[in-house]
Amino acid sequence: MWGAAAVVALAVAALLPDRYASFSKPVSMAVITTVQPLSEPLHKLSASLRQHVDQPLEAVQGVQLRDKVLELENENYRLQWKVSQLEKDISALQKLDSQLGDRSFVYRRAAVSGRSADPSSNTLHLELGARDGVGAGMVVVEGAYLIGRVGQVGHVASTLDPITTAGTHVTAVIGPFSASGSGVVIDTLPLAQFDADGSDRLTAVIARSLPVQVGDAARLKDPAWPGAVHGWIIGQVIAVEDMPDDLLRKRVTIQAIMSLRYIDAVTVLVPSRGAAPGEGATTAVPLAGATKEGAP
Amino acid sequence: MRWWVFAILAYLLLALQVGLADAMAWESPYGPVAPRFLLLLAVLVGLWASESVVFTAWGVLGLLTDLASPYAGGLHLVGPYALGYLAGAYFILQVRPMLFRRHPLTIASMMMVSGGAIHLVVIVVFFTRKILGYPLPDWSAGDEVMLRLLILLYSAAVGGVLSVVLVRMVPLFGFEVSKVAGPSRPRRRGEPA
Repeated sequence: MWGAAAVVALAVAALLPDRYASFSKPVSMAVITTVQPLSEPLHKLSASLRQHVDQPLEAVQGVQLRDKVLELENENYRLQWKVSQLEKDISALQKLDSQLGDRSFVYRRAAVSGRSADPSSNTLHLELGARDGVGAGMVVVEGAYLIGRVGQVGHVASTLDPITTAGTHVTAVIGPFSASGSGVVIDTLPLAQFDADGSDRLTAVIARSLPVQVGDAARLKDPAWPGAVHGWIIGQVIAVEDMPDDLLRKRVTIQAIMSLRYIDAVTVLVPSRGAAPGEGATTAVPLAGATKEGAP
Repeated sequence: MRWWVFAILAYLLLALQVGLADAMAWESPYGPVAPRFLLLLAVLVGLWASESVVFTAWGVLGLLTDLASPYAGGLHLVGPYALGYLAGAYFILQVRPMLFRRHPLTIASMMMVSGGAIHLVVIVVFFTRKILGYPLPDWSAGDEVMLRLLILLYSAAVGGVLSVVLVRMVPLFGFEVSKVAGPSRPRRRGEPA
């Protein structure tokens, strides 16, 4: 009798529409938080193992240097975009700035403590929560790359929805990886709407005449995201294919450069007006590319 | 069954599943394939514990898996794995009288078949959600079947190895083996009921 009732209740709960299914959030965040003390060091170990197994040791230093350069490139792109906007219309920039909330941020390092127990989901668990000023929808970056956004937030834990989550749509410009000094302005680069398919790839269909080639970088330029992360790299072009049924367009595929398997910590951009610097167990870590207006 | 032993092992194995998945994962065309450690504990309990304990323990493990599985957009679902584990429990209870419980191959094969029942139910739940109009983003039943099949194969291989250690821990659980029902022999003609 009780067993049958439990099965019916579970079946109803499993089939609830998304908007009613959040009743389990507090218990779920409690479970994730309880597992963290053990899963977080394991995940750190796991990320470190994967990095050394999948990448030759001698390449690691080179990758770090490249990441540093790319961080500076990000800053360069972002400033170029800013300057071009200013030249066009200062008042429009002010309006845009207030719309996007492009003010200042506190940068909080968050350890990745694990991933969703279900293979259908590539959501990660973060060891930061509302106590540290983290809120749903905040931007998450790592090094020179945009990783995604905060999903659910508990008191001391939260979840991260990667930008490669299936169903994500994001607008980005495509241009050379290192355009420093070449006179390329972000506004002149071709714009594309990318769709994620749940793997670590995103695809877009663009006009065939646009100059896009394998190896180019896709940089965020999406009004749905805060202006402070515009220009940040979301992936690298790995394929440009003609479309047999549409001679005027071609398909561009980009791949996230930072594999989620290598990440043992990320940085959450917490708007400074909603955060109390120094509060909580974490420390504010300024990043290159945002320190000028980002540091509290 | 000593529930505190079960709780400690469930905690350890869930932490392993959540934290160590990436280290042991390999890429497939359908997604990353990583072993599921909770299933190993479930099969161990399923082979040794009494019927009511099996249903309770498997239900708890299913709920734990549900609660540790956030989806994109802050979605949390309670039910798919809980239902799946209950189906798996029913399945293992039906077949266990025919099995050599201590053999690693038994545990590996039970992880495959009862895990198959679990994932079948999970896929059916997600498919039903798709039909009802609120699917997981870009969810494809075909890909899910292949991904979960590979995960089961991998989990069974890892579980078969780990079961050598876990079977030695069976006395720690304090299972009441006398309560474990064997197969009911068909009555012969003329035999009293």
